[in-house]
Amino acid sequence: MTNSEDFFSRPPPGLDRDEIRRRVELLARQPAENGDFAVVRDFCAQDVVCEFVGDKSRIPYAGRHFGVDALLNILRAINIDFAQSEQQIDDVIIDSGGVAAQASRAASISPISYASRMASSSN
Amino acid sequence: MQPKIDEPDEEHRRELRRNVFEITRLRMSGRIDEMMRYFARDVVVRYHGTKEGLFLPGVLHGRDAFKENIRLTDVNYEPLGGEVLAILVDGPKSSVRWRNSWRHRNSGRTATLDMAHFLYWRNGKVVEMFEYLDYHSWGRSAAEALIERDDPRPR
Repeated sequence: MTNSEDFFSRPPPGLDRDEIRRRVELLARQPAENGDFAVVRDFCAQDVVCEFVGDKSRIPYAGRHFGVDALLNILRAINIDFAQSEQQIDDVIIDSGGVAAQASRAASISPISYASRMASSSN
Repeated sequence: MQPKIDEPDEEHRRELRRNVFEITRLRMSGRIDEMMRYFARDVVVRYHGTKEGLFLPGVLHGRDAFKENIRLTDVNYEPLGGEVLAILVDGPKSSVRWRNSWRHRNSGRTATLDMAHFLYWRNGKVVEMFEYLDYHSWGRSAAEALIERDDPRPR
């Protein structure tokens, strides 16, 4: 059986809680009003690993990706497909170097993306 | 003796980690009565599931309603294996990210989901829980992600 104490213990983050919280809130508010994701590049390691869970047959970026450039490409693609607003963090859990956040945002499919999909499906 | 919930010491953190891990293990092995011992009688359960599949959005009030919803789920779906990916504890708050697989009892199709649960504790019991999930689909990618049963059924 897994030793949960050893397995789930986390190394120190090298940041205090207030700074972690500040960075999480900034990341949750991305993209900035000008559509820029500069904060993501500032706060993510060059070799960051990200995983988007979903049906790979329907969600093109579902799966595991490596590197901040791959992450930025995906975030930009999502931002083209969806207009996002009303970003909100409901709660944040900080345990050493691990963070979990409950967050929400409104998203609507952009007219250009919708028209493109309709054209694709009718071909 | 239960540690004071407002003292986020390491022993308290370890105990909540063990409790959360045990909840996932009991859920997937069908030992629901044992699992319910971790939940307050008036627990509030908030589901944020997708609008497709079995795990629908909604709010349940009370341990009995929560248990009945699990029973209804298991009428249709057989829990297979589960794997815990991360557990975080922050004072009386905890979260778990885990992956689990299910088989539809009629069609035999399997599905694998990644779930995140946020559990809020008071006096050693969960008083509020939020559930979020994503499907790995029903297709080939679901088979790739499948976790086989890892715990014997109760006799």
